[in-house]
Amino acid sequence: MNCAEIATLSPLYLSGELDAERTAEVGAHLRICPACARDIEQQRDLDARVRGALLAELRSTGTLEPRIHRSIAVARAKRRVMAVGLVAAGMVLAAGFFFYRFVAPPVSALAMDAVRDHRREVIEKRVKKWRSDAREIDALAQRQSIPANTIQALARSGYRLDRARLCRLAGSLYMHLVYTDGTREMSVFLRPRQGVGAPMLAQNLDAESVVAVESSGMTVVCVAEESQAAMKLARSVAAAL
Amino acid sequence: MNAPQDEFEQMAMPHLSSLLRVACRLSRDRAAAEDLVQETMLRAWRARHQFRQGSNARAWLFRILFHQFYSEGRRVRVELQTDALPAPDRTVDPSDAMEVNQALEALSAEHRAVLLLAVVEGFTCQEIAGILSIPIGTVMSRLSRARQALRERLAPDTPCAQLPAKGGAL
Repeated sequence: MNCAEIATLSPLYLSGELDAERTAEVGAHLRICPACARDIEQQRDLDARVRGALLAELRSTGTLEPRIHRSIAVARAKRRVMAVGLVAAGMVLAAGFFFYRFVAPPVSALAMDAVRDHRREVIEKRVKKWRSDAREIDALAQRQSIPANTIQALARSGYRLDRARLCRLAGSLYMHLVYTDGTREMSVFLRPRQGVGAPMLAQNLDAESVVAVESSGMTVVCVAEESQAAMKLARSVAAAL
Repeated sequence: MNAPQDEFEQMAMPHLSSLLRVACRLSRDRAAAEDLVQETMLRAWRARHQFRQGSNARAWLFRILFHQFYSEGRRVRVELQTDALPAPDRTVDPSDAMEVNQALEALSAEHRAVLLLAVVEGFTCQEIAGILSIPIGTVMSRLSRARQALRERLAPDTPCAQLPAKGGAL
């Protein structure tokens, strides 16, 4: 090992990071080279002097320590609040998902389809094939397992059944009934259903208001241009069912 | 009011004075150094799950300290205020301590950092490489140059007028 190698390895030698073999080689060189030995010795002395000067500094952590404890305590509390918030947010999301998946989507999809249908078939009158004859409408209702008397009973006071046809809402077949008081028209979509009825749900979609009523035997969706009218219609439908 | 110490605090708090000592050398201002150490401890607490049990906690904390220091862009040129330096205890010659401090301040920030970590804090070159995220060869060369520069400044026969200009801005 030569002097240049000693100079290169001196940091590792002084910190004790050289392996035993290298340490022995450096030691052997230092024994035969007074210049390198003196250099290493001066580095050791210098280190000791610096260490002595800096480690002797009076550096109290008295005020810092409580500050750190406090800041960690605050961070810990914030984290707890955040964890509780995340759990709460998760629960809200889960509830929202549950509502969306099992409650809202049928109504929403149904409502959107009902409004689209009402707009296309009643307001824009794009569909011409309607049944206007009362007997034909009754026959159509019977084929859909809808009692004929229900159809008449659904009409609000001042309104009469004008026409009917079959259509699909949210993938299911519904009977589309149009009631009129001579100036305004309202749509009622009917479909027999099984199971327990859900509460009445109302939605405003664009200009039209939609109210869905579910009884134990029937799903009814009412569409009117005014929410009040739709609600009144839905209430009379609910009473009739 | 002291909060109850958790496992992290029990592990980290013993290194507070070492961190503060180096932070003072980096920041050159006691208040800024305390802020730096506080932020370091807070970051370490947040990242405590990344710390592997059994590894070198002190080196880990210093790594966070340096990362925090450089990430905050504290590379501002600050002239050393002698009254900012801590007072030495009575076993050390105050004039010698002052001379050492001035010589240290004259070093470049990189040289001063490796010298402090190696000589004062007792880290190995390998550990310093990890703390500063630099190759070990760079640590070794910086350490050799820092020692050489310090030796030239602190040599008893070197007149002050021959000392090179101060270059320790951070």
